Amino acid sequence: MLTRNRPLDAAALVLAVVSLLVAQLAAAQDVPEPSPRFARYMPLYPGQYGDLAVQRDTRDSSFDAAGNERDSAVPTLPGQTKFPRTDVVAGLTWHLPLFEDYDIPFISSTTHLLRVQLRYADTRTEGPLAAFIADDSDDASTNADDLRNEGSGIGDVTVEGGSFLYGADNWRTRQGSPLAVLFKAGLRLNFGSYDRDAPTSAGTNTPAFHAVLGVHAQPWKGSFVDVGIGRRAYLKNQDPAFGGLTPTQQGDDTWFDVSLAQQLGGRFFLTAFYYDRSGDSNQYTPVLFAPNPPEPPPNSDNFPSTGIYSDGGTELQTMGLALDVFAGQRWQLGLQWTHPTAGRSGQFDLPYTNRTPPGCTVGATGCMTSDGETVFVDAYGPARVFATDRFTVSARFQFGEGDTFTCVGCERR
Amino acid sequence: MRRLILICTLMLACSAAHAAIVFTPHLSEYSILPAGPYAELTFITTEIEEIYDRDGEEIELGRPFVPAGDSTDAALGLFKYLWVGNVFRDTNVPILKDRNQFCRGIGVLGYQQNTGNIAARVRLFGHRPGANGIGDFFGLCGIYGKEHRWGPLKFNGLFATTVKFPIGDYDTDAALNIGTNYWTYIPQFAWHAELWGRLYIDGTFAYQFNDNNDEPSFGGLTPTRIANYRNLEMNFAWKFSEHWFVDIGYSYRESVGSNHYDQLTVNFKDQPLSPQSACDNTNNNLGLEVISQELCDNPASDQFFLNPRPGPYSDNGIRGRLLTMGIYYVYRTSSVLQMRVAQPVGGRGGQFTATYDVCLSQPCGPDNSVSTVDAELFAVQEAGAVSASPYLELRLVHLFWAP
Repeated sequence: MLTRNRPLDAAALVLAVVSLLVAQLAAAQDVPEPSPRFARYMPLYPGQYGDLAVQRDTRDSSFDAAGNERDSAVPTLPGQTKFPRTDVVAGLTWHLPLFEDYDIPFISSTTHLLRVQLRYADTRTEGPLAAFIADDSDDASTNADDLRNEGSGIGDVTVEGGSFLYGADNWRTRQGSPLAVLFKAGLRLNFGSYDRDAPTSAGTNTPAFHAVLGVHAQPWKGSFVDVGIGRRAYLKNQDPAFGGLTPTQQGDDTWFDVSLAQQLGGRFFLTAFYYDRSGDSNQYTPVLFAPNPPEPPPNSDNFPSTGIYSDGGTELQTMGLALDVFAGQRWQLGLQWTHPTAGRSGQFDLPYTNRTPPGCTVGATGCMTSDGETVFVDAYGPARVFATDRFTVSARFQFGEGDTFTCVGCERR
Repeated sequence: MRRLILICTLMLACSAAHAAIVFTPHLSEYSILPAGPYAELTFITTEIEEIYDRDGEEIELGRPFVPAGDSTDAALGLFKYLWVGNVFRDTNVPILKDRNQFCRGIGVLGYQQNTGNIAARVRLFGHRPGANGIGDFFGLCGIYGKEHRWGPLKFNGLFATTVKFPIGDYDTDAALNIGTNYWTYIPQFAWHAELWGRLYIDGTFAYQFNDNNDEPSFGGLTPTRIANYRNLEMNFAWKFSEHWFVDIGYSYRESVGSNHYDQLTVNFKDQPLSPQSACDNTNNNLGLEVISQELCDNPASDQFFLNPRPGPYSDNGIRGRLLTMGIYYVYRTSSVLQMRVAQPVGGRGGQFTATYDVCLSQPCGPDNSVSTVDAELFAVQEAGAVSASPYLELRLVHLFWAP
């Protein structure tokens, strides 16, 4: 016989809402990095949960390849370049049982989650790089022509699915487990606006897959400890932006996140978190230009030599604090501060080829080429690691548990 | 010289992937649904390695100017919202008061990208090899007919009209686009039948009125005057249990007449062209000798300029036939999970013969042309290209609030 559970008491509902969703998804650095949210690996009572967040990042400083903090987003170009960016992120998470009538081992007894995340990003280029983009005097003689300032618009779409390996088998009785383990995997769909001629865009044009193993624990009353590790693999970007200075093949990312949250009393929760990501070496080909080209010899011009170039990989460590408050039983409001503590961006040596006379057609009679100078260039897109603080304001809503289907919220007797 | 140029300008077969698949019917697509709001999330992905030419032959994408193996990769996310109800229920409006109405909105997000050598070749023409972003918006409203029963047979019809609003991202300098930049109006008759409660049949006939596109993309390889299309689709589903269904479907579409191309400008970005450039674009990429190396190396060949004559040109019209197979799982009473594979089984793509002037100086045109060459060009994007490669569809339908 199936009967509906008694209504949740306030504490249980707060707990359910607290543990809502959207541990923000790990992503490339041109798209803001994730900030761990408390209770992100906790099994929830079946239902649908919505999330909306606004993030602001000035992105006017960055880490170079040696790990030094520099006062520009593009340190190889004199002056301070900025890539200010504002993101609006919306997510919908669905915690659900599956095949519970079939008695399939494990699958029928635990709960699962599905998630889709949408994004809109407003970004632009300011400073010396913006001047380089706007300068069309070199368009006829180089490949740095028809450049654009930014590619704002909708962002990539992320979909995820996962199962609780441990700690969710009592979901019908709502007897929460102090320990839970979640495995989830996801796919990034590169639907986001992506300007192939701009140094910064809302989307990445790079499909990616990721997997996460997370552990949730409640060691003492009112506490939430979440620890996770993840790995993300990227497919090839068939059309690297800004003259090929964004990676054609992005290196895989491995990350680790941990958070400790404590209920301060009443409706307030304070979270401290740490995040550490390490990215493998990125590859670049073809590179068509650089904003800091070497001076060509007299009666010549130059262009980047053909080749496959690699950087030394990227890194980022952040820490931060978050304050969350519950407004009623369905709303959660949050304010989050994320501070980068260390990092490394992608940079690499780019050799040039001289061409004499300028503008001649390579291969034509009388057009000669020779080896030119090598310059150290900044990589863009996911290879840039910024050193700026980020602030996030978020709102979360629990859609009614007045079950859209008749069986959820029932228990078998 | 003439031969060199001919081979230079023959090029490119890029495709797009999303016109017909937005409407391909599914299980109970046209049945009278209970009043309520329905949401649907559909993901479609394909790797187009072959397209149909104007003779209906399958050809490898990019051939003969890039080696086989590269493709046009595409993925679409469709977000559909369907409302079913009767706003005339408490009125005396004849016909409408006792027949439910429905309206549906379809938002599209997409990604289309030429890969490898095809992308590199697109860049030779100064265009972008791919596109990402928001697609056109489809809005439709319609009315159900009444349900009829005849022994084990239960059936109904419906009429609807769809408008495609060209709000999608569209770049005239891109070889592929998510948006189309032209309006479309689609009146549609459809029907649904159930036999013995096991066999579910859905079908539709739709006529697609396409407006003009006065800003074609990729140098005019998308049509400016787009032919209208007729679409006929049938889907047969078998119910194994309340939870499990399988289906097989057939989709046919063809243009009524030809597409017309009035603004052809596609050309090599960097000119003049050297003989070696011609060889680099033919022999070296193909791996076989189309023109002799002696000719490539001959300084007397000198350099030359090309310029296309803008048109008008016409293709032979397009046609596509598609077979679909899928499996459904109905989760509780609120959700449907579905996976489907679609395999093209025949088609004809847009292709036309364009004329290029060959000059020794600029500006190049008929006034200073030393000769002309004819080039076989493939049309691109959804109005002109027909994929011969399969696609995969994953779909989630969810009833937000139970009626």
